[in-house]
Amino acid sequence: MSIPKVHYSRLIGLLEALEDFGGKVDVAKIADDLNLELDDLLPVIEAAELLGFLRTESGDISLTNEGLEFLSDGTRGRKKHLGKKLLTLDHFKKLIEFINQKEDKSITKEELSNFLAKEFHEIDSKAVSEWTIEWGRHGLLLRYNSKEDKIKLL
Amino acid sequence: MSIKTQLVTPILDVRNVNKEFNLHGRKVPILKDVSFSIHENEFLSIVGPSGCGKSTLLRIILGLVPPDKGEIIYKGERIQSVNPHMSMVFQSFALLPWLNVIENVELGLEAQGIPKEQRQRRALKIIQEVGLEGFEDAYPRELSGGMKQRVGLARALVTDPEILLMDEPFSSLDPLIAEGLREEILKLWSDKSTSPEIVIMVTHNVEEAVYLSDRVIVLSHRPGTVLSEFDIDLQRPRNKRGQELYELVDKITSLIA
Repeated sequence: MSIPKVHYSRLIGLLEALEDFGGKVDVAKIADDLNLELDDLLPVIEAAELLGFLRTESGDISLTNEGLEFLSDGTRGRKKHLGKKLLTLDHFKKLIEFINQKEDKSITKEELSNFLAKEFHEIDSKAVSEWTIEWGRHGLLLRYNSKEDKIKLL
Repeated sequence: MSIKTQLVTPILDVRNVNKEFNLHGRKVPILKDVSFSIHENEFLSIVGPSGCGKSTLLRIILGLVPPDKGEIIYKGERIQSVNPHMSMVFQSFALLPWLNVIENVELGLEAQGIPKEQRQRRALKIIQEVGLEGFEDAYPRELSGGMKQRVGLARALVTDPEILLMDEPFSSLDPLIAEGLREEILKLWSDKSTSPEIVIMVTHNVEEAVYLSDRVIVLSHRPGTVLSEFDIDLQRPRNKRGQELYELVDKITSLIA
């Protein structure tokens, strides 16, 4: 996984629930408690792990120190924290370089999708573009105006 | 009747509210003799089985629907039209798809005749508070359910209402999203500089009601009538998965199941 492919609000929900369980719980137990199928929960766990907020060990998931820190941040603090974290991923690093090379420092959604296909060999690059925009917005890295079809750096 | 109810002067009084609906010429009673009070700084939930008239009750409190009998008294005055000190968050989000986030939020202010520049400033502030920063120019179709409901919340809060009404605000959301959003609501609620003084939430989810509220009113099956009310004296922050909370949830659930 190159970037999270779940909604940000679901990631927050999982971390909050995990905190209620004292920071560590059996995966099946938390899935059952939240009334979710494991299939549904696994991509959220993967996303949290990718961001370093959560650790998996045999059948358990636990919050990392960074995950705890992230949770204790306020709404704005979380966004900043997330932004920093996203910048450590190759996905965003290279994308930002790419946008910066453009004359008007902006790209269209199609350009984003083509870039992801070429640079990261993403098969479903259209879907990954959507996730990129969503997470870029959450981390206050990107702006996207769908009327003008312009993705810009924030 | 709880002790709190007897000692403090209420902001809002629901007095003997009755409501019937006309179904193919047949009168169906929805609410019967519903009375309770709401106090300053209170997070109140109304729970009950589906069809018990709890959403109708919320609309009557807002002044959107008149009761057949009974009255709503707000600070000593009888409510006869929509109460401008209240705003509502809907289960279905109720966003305008052709407006972006900031325009949807500003909508809450437009009716008040506030100048454009001031509207925008207030909208941006509230957008930041509910975690929508970065999404100002996104359209509803570009948002997840959780983010859509944040817009609904921002639109309700932008008018700085004294009382926030929420009609099943989490029930059309994925369970994980609902989990996160409940925490955000509590955070907003605990920040006294921004939050409304009173929240009244309607929900069918007893656990959610107990977790969030200071007091829970339990309505019966149709026609809805007050079965009981519970002061939730658990210390905040609460443990949603704690024993004490579960005991209360069980007690309330057994009343309506």
